[in-house]
Amino acid sequence: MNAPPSQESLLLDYIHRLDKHKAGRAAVLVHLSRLKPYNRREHHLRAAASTFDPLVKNLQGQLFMLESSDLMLIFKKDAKDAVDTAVVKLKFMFGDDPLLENTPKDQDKLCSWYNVESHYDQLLGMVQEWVAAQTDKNAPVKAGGGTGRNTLLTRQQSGEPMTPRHLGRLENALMRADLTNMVRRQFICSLVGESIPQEVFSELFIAIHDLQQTLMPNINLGSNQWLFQHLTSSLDKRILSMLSKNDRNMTGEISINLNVATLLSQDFLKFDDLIMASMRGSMILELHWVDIISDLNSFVFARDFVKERGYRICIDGLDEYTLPYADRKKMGVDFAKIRWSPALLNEETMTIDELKACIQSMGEARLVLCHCDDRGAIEFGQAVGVQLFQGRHIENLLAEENRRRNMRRRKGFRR
Amino acid sequence: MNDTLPNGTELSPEKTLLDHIRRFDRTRKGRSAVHLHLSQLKDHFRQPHHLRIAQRAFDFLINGTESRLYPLNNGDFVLISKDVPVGDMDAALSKVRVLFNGDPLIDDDETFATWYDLGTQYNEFLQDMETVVEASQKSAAKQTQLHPSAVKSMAGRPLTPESLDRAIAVLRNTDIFDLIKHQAAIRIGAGGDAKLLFREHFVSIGALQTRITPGTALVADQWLFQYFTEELDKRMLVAMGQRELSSMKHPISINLNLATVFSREFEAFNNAVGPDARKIVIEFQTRDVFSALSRYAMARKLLQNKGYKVLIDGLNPLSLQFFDPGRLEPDYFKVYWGEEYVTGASQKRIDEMHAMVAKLGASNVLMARLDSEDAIKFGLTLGITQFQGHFTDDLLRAMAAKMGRKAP
Repeated sequence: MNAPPSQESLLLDYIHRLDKHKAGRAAVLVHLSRLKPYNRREHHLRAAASTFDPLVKNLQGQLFMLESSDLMLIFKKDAKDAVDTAVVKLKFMFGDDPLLENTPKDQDKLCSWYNVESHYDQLLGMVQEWVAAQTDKNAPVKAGGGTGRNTLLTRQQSGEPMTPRHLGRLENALMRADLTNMVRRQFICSLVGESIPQEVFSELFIAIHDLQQTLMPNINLGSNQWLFQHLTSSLDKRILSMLSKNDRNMTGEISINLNVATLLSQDFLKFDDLIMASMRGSMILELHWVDIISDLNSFVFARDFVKERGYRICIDGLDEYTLPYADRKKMGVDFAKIRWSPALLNEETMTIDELKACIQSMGEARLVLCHCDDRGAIEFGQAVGVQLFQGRHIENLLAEENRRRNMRRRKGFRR
Repeated sequence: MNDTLPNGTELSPEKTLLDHIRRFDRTRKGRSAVHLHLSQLKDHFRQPHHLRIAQRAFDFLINGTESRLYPLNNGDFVLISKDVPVGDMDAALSKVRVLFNGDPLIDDDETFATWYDLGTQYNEFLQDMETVVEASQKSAAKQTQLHPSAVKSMAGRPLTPESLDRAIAVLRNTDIFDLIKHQAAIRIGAGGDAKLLFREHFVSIGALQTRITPGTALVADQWLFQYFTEELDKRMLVAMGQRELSSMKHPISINLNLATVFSREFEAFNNAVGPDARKIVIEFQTRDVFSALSRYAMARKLLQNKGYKVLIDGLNPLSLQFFDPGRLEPDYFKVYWGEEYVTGASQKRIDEMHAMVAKLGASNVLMARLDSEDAIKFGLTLGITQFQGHFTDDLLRAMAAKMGRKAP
């Protein structure tokens, strides 16, 4: 639920890690930001980025889509021909733009090329500046394009960063707001090969995006991790009271997100008193990694308490960075969730073999790959041994299966 | 749990317990009692929410049998049952034990609980309970008097988003220089001499609270407090940059959030520090580090390239059991052992600690929050040579006096 790291910071991280693997690599910065605005719409940028897809899929290069609209591709020199081909395609795509139309053939205004080994410091400095510009939230908006424009753009797209004052207003509004229509349910399914997804449990959660749109449009609720974490503890109270009043949603095995502190609070004890004893065995409590790590003593106490009551626990919020630190068995929990991101493909953070080993030690049937929004995520997961999936793509597959089942039933009636 | 009188006043659990015991004077047969000495738990386990949850371990006895539980004001529990097999009571007790796993109290059957067969030990039980009740009432009265200044300075209404907003506004216009305290971290040489490793500079939160938000407990909410520290970092850097650094002779450490390293305030600080960066240790909290590992990796490289040293703060034996922080590659790991690990630790625990220290590299480990010189002796047996605690400054002064020079 947290704001994902920016492409610039991922790129910076990548360049840092390249330090030891500079040789044989090159980079190209594609200045899409220099194109006319009518050539720079969302679909243009997507199409431009997709030109590099084959390279990325073959692990020959890593692409970053920057806030400025520029693209940065870092690639292995063996792939230079393929990169050249992609660039030719790009130039053809934007051939009508004045940037390319009025430029002599021997000048390249669209691309800047770098040899990573010899230009390493230059690249590093450049990307550090981009990140610094993003990180310094108080940076004044400079006139005339560049970073200022991008800061403004980010603000317009994702909203103003949340302040304590916004949080206070939001939490007050939460006490009165009806959140029932913001509760979403997503299935965690086991999926083997091309077969139909089998439901294992479902997660009930309050859709933060809807909450933001309804109560605080223009404010980015995830902009500060700590304030967001505080917000989630207010939501805990609401979801517990909703579930204890109305167990219509409580069918099958379900999971809910809670904070460790909530498990130790009167609100949870009340909830635990109200629900039927048999319910506890079919409930999975999702605790966020950051919350667990913030107070391990409380986590251990809460874990032993809820497990004794019959609940199961899932660690939520793992990513390619935290996965190596989180040992599910040592932590004494039943499931762990890792968030799908193309960065998982990036062997610089963790090699595929290391990832496979991590997944195996977690237990394949205990690790959920979540945020699987497309087929690629599932394919990747299956290739590294994941069996449980969650995300929009799974929801689509389930919906499709339902449609098919209904069709079959109707056909059956007609016969 | 408190009983209510017809006039609405509540009876204390202590009084109800004694009444109950006296009432079954003539029907002792089949009754038994267990006294759980939970008041002897370490402070961090003896929290109201821990004890409230521990009561639940007895639910099945209370609902299914003729049993009653008296949670006393000092934290102790007394269970009185009739015709309940020992095995069932054992089951409840082991649930409590699981919750407080890690506390030395539960390692020893005798100190954890006292059992009574009331058929034969009624008088002994009554006498013991009279003593316990008296002590419990005294401790309840004492608790409110204990360390009035400490309690007063950190207590108050919990911080809310609104009061956080006000606190930050006030902080921005407050000079905090005089609230900066320091504490020495030392290295013990092969000859037993203590040398200054660095001096940690930190803002006394109690004093800061009194100054900017009297009546509001800044640390009551971990997330809001964490946000607050991001602002505090900036004030600290400004204060340090202006005055402390011009005369920096000895190495220092400061606590920062990762986000601060990328701020303008840090840039200014860094410019002011210049080559003295190598005398500065930057301490990061584990919570902050593990919530943004990629940012940590960036910050660490940036800082170490400029000459700073990086320290991971807030580790303890429990966290080291859960994960190996070695991959973080800082210059120092600060580990808080707690007195229970120093005195009376079992051989198994000592062996585990040996292994942890060896894994992290003894020269990278700093043992912190020491309360006694015994703790140093204990640390030295583990191979640790770097220490920090409230008496390390005194130790340095004493050393210096012995050598006939001024303390660094």
